[in-house]
Amino acid sequence: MTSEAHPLDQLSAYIDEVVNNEERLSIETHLTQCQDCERRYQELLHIRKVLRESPILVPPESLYRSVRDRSGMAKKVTWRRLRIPFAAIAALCLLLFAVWLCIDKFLKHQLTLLFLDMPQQIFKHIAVSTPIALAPETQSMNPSSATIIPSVVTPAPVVTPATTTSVARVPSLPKEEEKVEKIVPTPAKPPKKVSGKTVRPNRRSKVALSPERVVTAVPGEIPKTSTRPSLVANLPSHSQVLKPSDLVEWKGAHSKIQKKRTLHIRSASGMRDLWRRHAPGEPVPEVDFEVYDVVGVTLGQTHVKGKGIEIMGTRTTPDSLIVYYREAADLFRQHSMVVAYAPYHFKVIPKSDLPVQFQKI
Amino acid sequence: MDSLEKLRQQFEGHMRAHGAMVFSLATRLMGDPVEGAKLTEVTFLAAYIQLDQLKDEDQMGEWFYRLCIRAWKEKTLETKKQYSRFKIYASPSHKEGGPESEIPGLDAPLMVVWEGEGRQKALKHALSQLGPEERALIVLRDIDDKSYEEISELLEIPLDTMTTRIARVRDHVRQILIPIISKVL
Repeated sequence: MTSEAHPLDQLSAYIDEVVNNEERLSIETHLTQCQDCERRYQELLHIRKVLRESPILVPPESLYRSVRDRSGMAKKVTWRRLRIPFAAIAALCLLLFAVWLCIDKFLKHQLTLLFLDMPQQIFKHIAVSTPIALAPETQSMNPSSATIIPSVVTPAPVVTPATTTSVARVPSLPKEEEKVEKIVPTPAKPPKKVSGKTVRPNRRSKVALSPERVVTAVPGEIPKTSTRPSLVANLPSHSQVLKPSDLVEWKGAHSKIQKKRTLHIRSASGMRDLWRRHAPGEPVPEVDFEVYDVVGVTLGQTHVKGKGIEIMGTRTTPDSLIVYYREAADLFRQHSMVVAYAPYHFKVIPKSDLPVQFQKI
Repeated sequence: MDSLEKLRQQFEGHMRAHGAMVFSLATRLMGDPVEGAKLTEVTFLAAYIQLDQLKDEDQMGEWFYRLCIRAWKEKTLETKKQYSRFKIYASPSHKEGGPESEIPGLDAPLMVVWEGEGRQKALKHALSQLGPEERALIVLRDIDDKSYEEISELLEIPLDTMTTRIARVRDHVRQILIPIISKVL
């Protein structure tokens, strides 16, 4: 075979096995006869083998850093790392805020939820036209439909309305007194008829209580019971909605008790004594003290507008009966004509032999 | 989190997984580790920017490979005047303004022993003596074991001329290395 016939290009193809059978046979035949081509073939094979054994080159770490910096990946990685604590912190803040809201709401408004053992409809006789102020949740919190003796309507304990006359009695009032004295007192309104009963206009309720909290008690027919009501068995049904008139308590801004007191009345004589000091000359409400007690708090005389006192509820412990009450500056609203107050709150509770403790919230 | 954002976050992992492969390819294509590092960096930056064009995450390595070839071609076009387009027996690249070899003279490989690191050093020198396209052909075919069709597609070279081109490149490398391998064989 001459040198012109050397299959130089075909040798490479033969190594790569991209020749057809005919070419392959021709090349193999030539290789057996031509030493030059055979040597070249071996050299090419060897070079190819060495090339294929070329090691993988490891890039320097700076290469990755450079790519990271130039592509902006570094920023994203930083954000990704920081996002986790941010999310956790945000979640924690939300949780703390929610807990704080719950605690705040609980302390301010929902505390009475603890006092389910406090029946309200427990009077033999219900005072008429006595301003009764109850928070809505308090009304819904009277599950014990304690059966009550049919009421005999008696006049409500009437306290002299706070007018400029009463204000004038305070001898040493500050400058506000002078301003008040210039105001012409509003003439008393004629009595109104509510539910067929004559109800005296009660300046005190208008002055002391906010409109949404003022309820004028209207006596109703209440069944009688001779035993202490069961707090569980006598739970009212949904249809047996408790009326405000069934809830017995006295609350207002003008008591004749001019000192801060906590009261626990266990007997009718005590009740008479209380009423003599609280509202002298007014009929004493009748309470069945065999079954119930009366607790109360008075704030004493104050000149802070709107300031009041109220019983939040009671809780029975193995050792004592705790009465929770609070003083607040926003209990009463309409008080522009009045400069002196003596807020009070009396409430009927189931009779208990345990010592009563008053705890201010 | 969309898939693109996920890919971006995982990009560094992919980059490190395929970094050696891309760097090896880039270094051999450029004939110089420094230039190879630059080409690798350009490749990864282009990949990061064009991540939305990646169709299959499992083909990330192949995608990097193609991007590296593309970046190399663009770089080669920039220096087209400095490199011969396809000289089979091109002059040593450093004489044409190409990257300088670690082994300056053609006689230097003759001094190395055709074993171990000396053999790789000689091969490296031989590759540095080739033109860009020649080097690409030998790297893709003999080192990375790409088929003729793949090489034709990647380098945009007609398939029917592939056999001749590869044969000539191999003969060129053989001529460069013949002084030392003839002693071995």
